[in-house]
Amino acid sequence: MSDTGTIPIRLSFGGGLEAYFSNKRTQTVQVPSKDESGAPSNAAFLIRYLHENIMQYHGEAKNNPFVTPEGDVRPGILVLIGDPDEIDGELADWELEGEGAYVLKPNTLVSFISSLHGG
Amino acid sequence: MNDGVPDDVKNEIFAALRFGDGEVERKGGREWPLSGDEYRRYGRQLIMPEVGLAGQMKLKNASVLIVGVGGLGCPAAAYLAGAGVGTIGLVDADDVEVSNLHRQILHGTAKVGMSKVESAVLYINGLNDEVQCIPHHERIFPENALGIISQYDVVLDCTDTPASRYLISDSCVLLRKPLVSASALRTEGQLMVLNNPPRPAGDVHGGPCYRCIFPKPPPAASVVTCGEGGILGPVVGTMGVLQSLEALKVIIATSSEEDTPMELDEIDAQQQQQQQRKKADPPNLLLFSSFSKPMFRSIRLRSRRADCAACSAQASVTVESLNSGSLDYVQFCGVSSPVAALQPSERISVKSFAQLIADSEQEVHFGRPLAAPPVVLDVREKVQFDLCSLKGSINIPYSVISSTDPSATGPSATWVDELRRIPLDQALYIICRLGNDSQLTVKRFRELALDEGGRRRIVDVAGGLKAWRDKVDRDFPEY
Repeated sequence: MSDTGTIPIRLSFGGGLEAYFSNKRTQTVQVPSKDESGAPSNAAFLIRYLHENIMQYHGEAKNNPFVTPEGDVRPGILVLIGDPDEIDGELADWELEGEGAYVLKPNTLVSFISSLHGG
Repeated sequence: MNDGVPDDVKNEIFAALRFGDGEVERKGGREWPLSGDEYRRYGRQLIMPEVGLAGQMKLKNASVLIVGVGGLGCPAAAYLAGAGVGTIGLVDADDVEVSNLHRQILHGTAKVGMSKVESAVLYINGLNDEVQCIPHHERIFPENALGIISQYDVVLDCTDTPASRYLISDSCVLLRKPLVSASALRTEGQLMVLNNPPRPAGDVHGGPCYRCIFPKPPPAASVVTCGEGGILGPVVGTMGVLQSLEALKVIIATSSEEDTPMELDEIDAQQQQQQQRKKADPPNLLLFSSFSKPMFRSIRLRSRRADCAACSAQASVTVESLNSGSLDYVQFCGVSSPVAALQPSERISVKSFAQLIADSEQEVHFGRPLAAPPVVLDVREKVQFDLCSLKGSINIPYSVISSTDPSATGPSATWVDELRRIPLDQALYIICRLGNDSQLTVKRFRELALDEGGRRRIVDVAGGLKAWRDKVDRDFPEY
């Protein structure tokens, strides 16, 4: 893979977040394989990239449904990672995979699920 | 035993009476662990190896608390009662409303206005009078949570706000109760078994609590209720049924030593831990997305958080802090304040708005109207607009408005161009369901320069269609 290449990342959204991503629950996006500093793209970069390039939201930063003004994932959203190299392909809380430091691989599945509260 | 009756005769009598009530067996001298009625009632689950007699006895001796007798709590209560859980506690302060009935299956049309707990007790007693029902006709608060929860073995969180979810989880950690937590909205549901095994705070072998998974609450403005977002009955029903299933599994998996959790410390700790590690499933989140394929997905969750405010060794949530009222869950989760984005001059009351419409409909001399009909923009989602709308109003959903980038260069959205073509002396009246999105729309229209530098008035119809129904047109549908 070249330095300027992209890698396919499979995304899924749930709990209402899909409304800000073309109303699609699943989609595959091409993400730069290197971040701004030239390091391999990780999950933290992906979130930045999605926020700046893919997400459809034009309201105030403090009401952003995906990231906080500081750039962190908003509280109440679970980030889940399905590593393509893990045989079972099971999704896991990204805290089990190194959180933002998880280095993206081609076809990594990254899922953003907003917690629900209705009952 | 010699009671003077030959054994073969006795056997024949018993065989003939084997469909009679349970008394016969006892008269014959045998004490069965369950009554004849219970054998028959629970027979279909008793013959399953997952349950068996031992499992049924555990269910019979168990007590389960259901907090919230709504879309989750109703089906959960029905299946737990059906399965023969000995004691079921029910917490809810609300009364049955007609808008509950499409999903809250214990309540019926004749029970509208009755308290939900009373309605649920009636249903459960009708289903299975072996079950002891304990109604708690109150909302759960820090002041009453420990008192109520301490009376039960397993807790089901069937509530609908983040504040109650944190409170119930904290209480379950403090009292060492397993917690089955579920939630649902629109077409989706989520399910977790938390604090299982319910080890003391600081014990890394205990299951994670709600705070481990969600250390910080979501911003109050991002929390959508079923009333706002909608809910499909079978979706929330599925989650409630799954909660009852998880509760049954937790109860049946309980070893006899664990029946008295407060004495756990006396048992050899290492042996206990090994036993529990073997038994408890790794923490999981089950996601249900009813319009996706596959509908179900299971997510591996983290274990207890080392710095968790509730279940770690450094926990700041204690019995004392809860009882003293120093933990304010409502404040912790924040309150979504009503939108107040506009000046009074940018708003019109529904009564004045109704007058405006009436004026435009009133014909004066030569058949010319007194005033042009107002341009009314309804910013509810299309599905709601299609349910009912004001005559002549135009639908531009707020989701479309809010996703239009005001700073974008190049051709603007079609709907913006169409609004620009409306003569400048025509004001735009913005209406929505409750009067919040309409205010945000007025602001956004200014950002999109639709007020043409102040030459066009953009007016919010205060209070939305709810106020319209309350103060102008009682026949306008309520949903």
